[in-house]
Amino acid sequence: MGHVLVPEHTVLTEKECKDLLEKYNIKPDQLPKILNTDSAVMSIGAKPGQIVKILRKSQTAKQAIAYRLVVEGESIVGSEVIPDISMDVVSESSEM
Amino acid sequence: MAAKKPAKQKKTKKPVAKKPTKAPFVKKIPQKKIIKKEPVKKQKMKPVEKKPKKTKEDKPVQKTKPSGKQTKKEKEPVKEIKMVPPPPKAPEEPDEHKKIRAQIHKILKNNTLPYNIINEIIKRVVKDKKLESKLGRIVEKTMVAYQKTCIDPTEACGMVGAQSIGEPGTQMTMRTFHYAGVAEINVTLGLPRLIEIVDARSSPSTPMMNIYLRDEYRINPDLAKEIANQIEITRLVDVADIEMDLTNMTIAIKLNTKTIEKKGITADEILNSVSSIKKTSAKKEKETTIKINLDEPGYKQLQNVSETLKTLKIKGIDGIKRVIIRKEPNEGYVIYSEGSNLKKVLEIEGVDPYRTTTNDIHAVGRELGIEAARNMIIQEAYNTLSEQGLNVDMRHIMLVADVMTADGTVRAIGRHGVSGEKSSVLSRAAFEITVNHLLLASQRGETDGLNGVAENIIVGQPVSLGTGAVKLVMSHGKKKT
Repeated sequence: MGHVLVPEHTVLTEKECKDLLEKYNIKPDQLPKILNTDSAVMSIGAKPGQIVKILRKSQTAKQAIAYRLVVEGESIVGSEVIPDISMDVVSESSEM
Repeated sequence: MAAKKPAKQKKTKKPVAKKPTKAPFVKKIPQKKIIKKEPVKKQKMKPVEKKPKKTKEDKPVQKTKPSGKQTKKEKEPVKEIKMVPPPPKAPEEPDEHKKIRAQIHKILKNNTLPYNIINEIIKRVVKDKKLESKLGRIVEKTMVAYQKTCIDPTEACGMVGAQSIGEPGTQMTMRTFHYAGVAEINVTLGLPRLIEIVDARSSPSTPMMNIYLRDEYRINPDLAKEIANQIEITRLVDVADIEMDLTNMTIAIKLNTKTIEKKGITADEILNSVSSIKKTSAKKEKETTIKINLDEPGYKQLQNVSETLKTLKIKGIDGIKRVIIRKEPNEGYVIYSEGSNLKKVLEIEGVDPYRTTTNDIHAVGRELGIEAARNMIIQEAYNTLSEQGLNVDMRHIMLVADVMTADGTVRAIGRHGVSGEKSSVLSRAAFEITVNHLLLASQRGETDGLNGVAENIIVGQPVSLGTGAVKLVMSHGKKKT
């Protein structure tokens, strides 16, 4: 790790987690997620259920703090996928 | 495209005047040796060619500590190439700044101000000592001003973002293919590229990589060439003529000595890879000829083997079709490649694994993690737009990238991604393939909590945005006397 694209990741301690959740009045699963198979997560050895603090380099604020909840890799991939049927009904939307 | 922000997402704050978006993410040049003083402390370095306005503050020069990314190799005497040294970590800020920062944080208590606003205050206060006593008032005023510029709660920031990107997007020329800066490498730009990014295609239509080199490799053209040879895929047809001998049922490979030398391959290496083909036996006839005999002679086998030989990989990395070496000012040699294979390229010695990038967002996500993918989306989308002369505020793109990477994987915006996975039935039905969504939902017996915008419009209720989000109930009953 240390690639220019990868911001610094750190695992939050239990107390920090509690403070964070209290501060924003949220539950852990309301945070954005990060997979436990993510290479940045693996390099710091975070376990599912832990919260990772990310020190982003932001172009607007120079430095911004973000949090992500570490989740099991499969739980996301295996979630229900809406079968993509009758594509003919849809005209490829060329929005944007 | 209407990317609705997930409710929990921290809103993109709008701090003071827009910063000129300088210092693109990629542009990072590692230190070689320190030629000039580091411009500003505690800030990430800007490449020197951008001519940053230097702050007048005098600061002690800090010698950059040797970073971990140096190779073990002894360094060649470095020629006079101007290197800008962005240290891997921002240098420590002086104690004076730390003290003021601590004070500010104390005043702020639980409130937050963006990092660079705090920096700005510190800078001013350090310059003018008189301000230090008024620090409390300054911070308070800044907080008020900052809160004014923040986006309001329950503001439809996704909608604003969608329009802000979409409107200039209409100005884009359709199907723009362009020779972008890099010589001879054709990169998809403009609208097709933007659609590609937002759709999170599994591979870009024109994958390419910027391969930065390390230490002496980027100064010495021969070493750079060597790496380029290791990266670029070389097939047998590129270095040899393949001749079929139908009477003897053999194939003769006549090596082209010049090209072999240029590519840095030996005849033995070729022999090795040729002998890996099954059901054949290869042996060296002369210095430059390899003869292949079939175990079971037959016209068809001969044909097959000859076909395999043509595409046989001798050297290089799969997926990298072509490389171009260019000398960049302040950097040395940089390899640009057509085709991309981030994983393999990063393993090559001499490649700087900290700066080498690809435009394949999924590959970045796999190798470097979701945060890197997020940065890549922002960077690519922003560059695509600004290359077309469109000024879209960074924050809109950041919001899009946040939504795309919110669940830990790179998801497309659209039917297959974000919009197709919404929890609300009506919202999904309102987007695309209405009938199917409704049918499936009725099969499964789904419920809709009517939390989103589309659902509430469908049933004719005020949406939970802006003033609609506030739930105030007044009891009507008569006051009992």
